[in-house]
Amino acid sequence: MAESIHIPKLGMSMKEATLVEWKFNEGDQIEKGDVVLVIETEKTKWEVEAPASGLLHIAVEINVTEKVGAVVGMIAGSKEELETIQKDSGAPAVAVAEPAAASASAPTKASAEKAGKGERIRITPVARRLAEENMIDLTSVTGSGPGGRIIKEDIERAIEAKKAAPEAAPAETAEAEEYDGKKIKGRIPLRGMRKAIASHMHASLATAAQLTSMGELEMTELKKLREDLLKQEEALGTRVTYTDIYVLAIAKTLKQLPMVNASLIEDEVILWDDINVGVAVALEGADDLGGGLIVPVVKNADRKSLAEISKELKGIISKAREGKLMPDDVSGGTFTLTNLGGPGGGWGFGTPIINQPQSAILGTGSIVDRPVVKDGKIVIRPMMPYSFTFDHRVIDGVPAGMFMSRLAQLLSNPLLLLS
Amino acid sequence: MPVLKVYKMGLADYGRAYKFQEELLLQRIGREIPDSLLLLEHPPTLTIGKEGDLENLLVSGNELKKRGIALFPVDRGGSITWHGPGQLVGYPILDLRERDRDIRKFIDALEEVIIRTLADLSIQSTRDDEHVGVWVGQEKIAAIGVRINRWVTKHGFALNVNNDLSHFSLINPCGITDRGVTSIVKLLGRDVSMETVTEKLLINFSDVFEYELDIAARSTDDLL
Repeated sequence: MAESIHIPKLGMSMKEATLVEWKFNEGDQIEKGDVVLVIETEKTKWEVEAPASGLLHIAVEINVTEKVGAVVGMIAGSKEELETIQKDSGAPAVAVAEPAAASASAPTKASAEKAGKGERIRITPVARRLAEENMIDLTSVTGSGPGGRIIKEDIERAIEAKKAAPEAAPAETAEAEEYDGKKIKGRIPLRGMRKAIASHMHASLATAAQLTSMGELEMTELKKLREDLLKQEEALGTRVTYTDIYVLAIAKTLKQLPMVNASLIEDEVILWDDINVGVAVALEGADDLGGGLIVPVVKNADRKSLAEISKELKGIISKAREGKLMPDDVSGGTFTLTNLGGPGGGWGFGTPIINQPQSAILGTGSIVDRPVVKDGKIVIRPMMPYSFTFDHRVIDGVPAGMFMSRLAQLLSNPLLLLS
Repeated sequence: MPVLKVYKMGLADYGRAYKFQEELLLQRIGREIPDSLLLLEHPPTLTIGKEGDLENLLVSGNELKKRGIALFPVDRGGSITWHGPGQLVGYPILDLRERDRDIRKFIDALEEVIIRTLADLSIQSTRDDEHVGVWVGQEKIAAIGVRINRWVTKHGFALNVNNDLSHFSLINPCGITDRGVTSIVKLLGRDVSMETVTEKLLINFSDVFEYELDIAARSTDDLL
């Protein structure tokens, strides 16, 4: 038995709806539950699902307005049944249909005249759907169809281009523009993540009394530990990084020194019971966030094992690179770790800026073999420079020093991490 | 009272905000998260609901490019509209399975939130039987366009607070040719901040839809 597809009643007062899009073609095989049709009522689009599996017959074309309950399509159980239905309704539905029921969308003469400036944008329905699904900005597409119409291939090219260079600087014509006597190479609008970074960084410096103390830590034992952990990659189920170990050591240290795990909020210093360690991660330009920086947060890091921390960080970072981060993944931090030893950084110091409203941030540099004096002799040891920025409104020099010395103790005697 | 999770996103790219809506929508359909409301502003962007809408775009693609305005075809109801800085955009991700399954009631409630918010600012606004949205006299102050998947809503409303209304001259807003647009600041003749309007709107949203608000202390803006 053929099943009918009709306009559903989506509310007490609903009387009619306009067909917007058939998701399948005449005769296509569809499965029960597939979205087969999109309708619109009250400026709301609604997806109509197939009530059964079978072959689709389109009885009413798009842009036609139908009453609630009207049958607009059929689902045939077999090829023979489909043919019968098509014969009864006078062959496959033809794409004529009433002109858009929404008289509103018909251009008035006045508006057509106003349109004098240059070529109007035109696009085929298929190209439009593709652009919609891929969030393609039509102003970035040149139509190659008849009369400059944007066709499917144009959108496909735009999708490829978007993949290759997301958020690339807008393709501006190369006119030697000048500002204040200086030639301009390009302009990048301050928006999105860039804007967020700009305002957060500046707000942080404007708000807090930040100072940075620097030093270096010997990493001989930690380096051995990490090499051993790498050998256990299979057993651990993750490739442990130095960052993972730092997060664990920081969490353990914060547990002992709650005044460093604190925020100054409206005349009150709040000591956090939760120990949530954020890790600043640079994003490569080749993802759809267009580079920038995010700070995934390992929640309750003091209650997690090294392997758990490692897996969690990897998970959030890959989500970030795929542009699938949820606000929860990057919020709620109480302390931040940032690696200064990244691209071009090398062995070095910095003055990290606190991630507000936290009170401290630790910057770690690359581990490099350096000459150091031990028992009166110059020896070579792997050393890691650190830069610890804290908010002097909340933390004085002594607790800051205590934090670093306890952390140093853990990192130079990593067996203590087991305690 | 049910909880409404509110995300204040600040200025957000259309594409990025859309992606975030999609994520929330899928999670809401799966009942993994509570109802949510995204509040944000977009960089200058035109969106069209269906292909015929391009008839209501009055300038060429090059002209848009020159002015730095993006143009996206989108999957909401309604015709062409403009978004940009100074316009408060709200994307409610609400599960109507847990309310009346009634589209008109939902749209009515959205309009009611905006009408009450404007009333708090001493602006008297009305509905129009023929055109969804909120009007002050013959001028539109808020546009509405929605998509519903499995009774969960996405897209939403755009309320003109202190935006540049001249951009609307590039289009026939919502395909309507014989009416104008207006904004809160234009009507009041004084500055009203986005924060003030946002705050009032949230209170009215929680009243009309009967929610307890859970405002994400730190939002996606924190992708720092």
